[in-house]
Amino acid sequence: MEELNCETVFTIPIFGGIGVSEAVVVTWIIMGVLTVAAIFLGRNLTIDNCSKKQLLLESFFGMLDNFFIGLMGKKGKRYVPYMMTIIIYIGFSNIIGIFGFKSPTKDVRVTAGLAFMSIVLVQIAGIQNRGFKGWLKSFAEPIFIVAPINVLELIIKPLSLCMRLYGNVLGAFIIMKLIELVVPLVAPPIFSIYFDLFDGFIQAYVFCFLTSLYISEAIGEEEETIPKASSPGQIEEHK
Amino acid sequence: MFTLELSNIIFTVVNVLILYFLMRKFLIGPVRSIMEQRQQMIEGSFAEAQRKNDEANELKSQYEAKIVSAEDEAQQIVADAREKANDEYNRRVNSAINYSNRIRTEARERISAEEEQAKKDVLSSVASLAMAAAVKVAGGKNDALTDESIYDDFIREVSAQDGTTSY
Repeated sequence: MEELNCETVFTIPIFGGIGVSEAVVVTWIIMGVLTVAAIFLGRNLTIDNCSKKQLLLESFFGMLDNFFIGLMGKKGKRYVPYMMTIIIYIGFSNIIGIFGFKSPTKDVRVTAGLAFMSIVLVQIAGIQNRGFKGWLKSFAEPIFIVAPINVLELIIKPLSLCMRLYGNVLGAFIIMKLIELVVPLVAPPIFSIYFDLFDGFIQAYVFCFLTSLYISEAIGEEEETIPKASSPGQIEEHK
Repeated sequence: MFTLELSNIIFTVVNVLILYFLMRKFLIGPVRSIMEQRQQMIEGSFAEAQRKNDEANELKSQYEAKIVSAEDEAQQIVADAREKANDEYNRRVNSAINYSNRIRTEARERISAEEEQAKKDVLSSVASLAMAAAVKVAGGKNDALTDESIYDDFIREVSAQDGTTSY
């Protein structure tokens, strides 16, 4: 059980001691790595005669760009960098277990923070695109009676985001530990490919997919452009 | 295991926000701006190519119009030249005809003058011969025989004097 706990690494001695959890420290490490990588990759970009590094980088970001703009529409373009950051961060957090760290997303406080930010962003997107009155009115859509449910969604949406991510990462972690206990040889790396890598990226994808979906809903009008091809619901139920 | 203390949520939020700004500054921003610049460059060169194409088409139509007008002009010039040549030809021919006519009339006049002169000469020589004959008649005998011989002499003399003259 000790492995499942998120230890408090140290305590900042103000306001009666603020505990800094392991997840936050690992997040700092991830931030450091990502920032160094970003500075290294973001240098010396050229318009023509690109290096292979830049081509890879551009195709990666082009892919993310298309994905998020396809979900949120042209109006959602301003939120794409944030979504990119989140998908990179969650993706990294989910697979960092491979390197011997505890995944920050295994800590419910981190996923809660992420989900909270997502719902705040959704509301900001609503206010920015519909105006404050339009945002308030959007709670009474499609008819006035559903307003309480719409208000409830303010809690339900982030809660589901938070719990899905947390539960999946924790579940994958527990299963991996069990497999390691039962079959310590050969099996763990094979299952690790699925539970650590594949599931890690899938969860990052699902989190960002749903957040983008909520944003496009909040922006309104362009709901028809949302592709129905890949439904995250199936992935959830599957787990 | 499942604790929801606020401080770590706030830490997460702050961390993610910081990460967002760092990513945007160092990675997403530069990559995006480069991609946009390239997009603009491509669009610019497309527009430039389109513009040049239009320009070339316009020039082409201008040249075609010019060629047509040049052909017209050439035909005009040839027609003018032909007309001028015809005029010149006619003029020359006319002047030649005039000249030859003039020469002919002059020649004719001269011939008639010479004829006149020849007639005058013949007459004058006839007169002198008549005179000589008269002298001979007066000098010789006045009988029929001599008259005849004198007449024959006269004829012979005249014939010797002018072979071409006959009666």
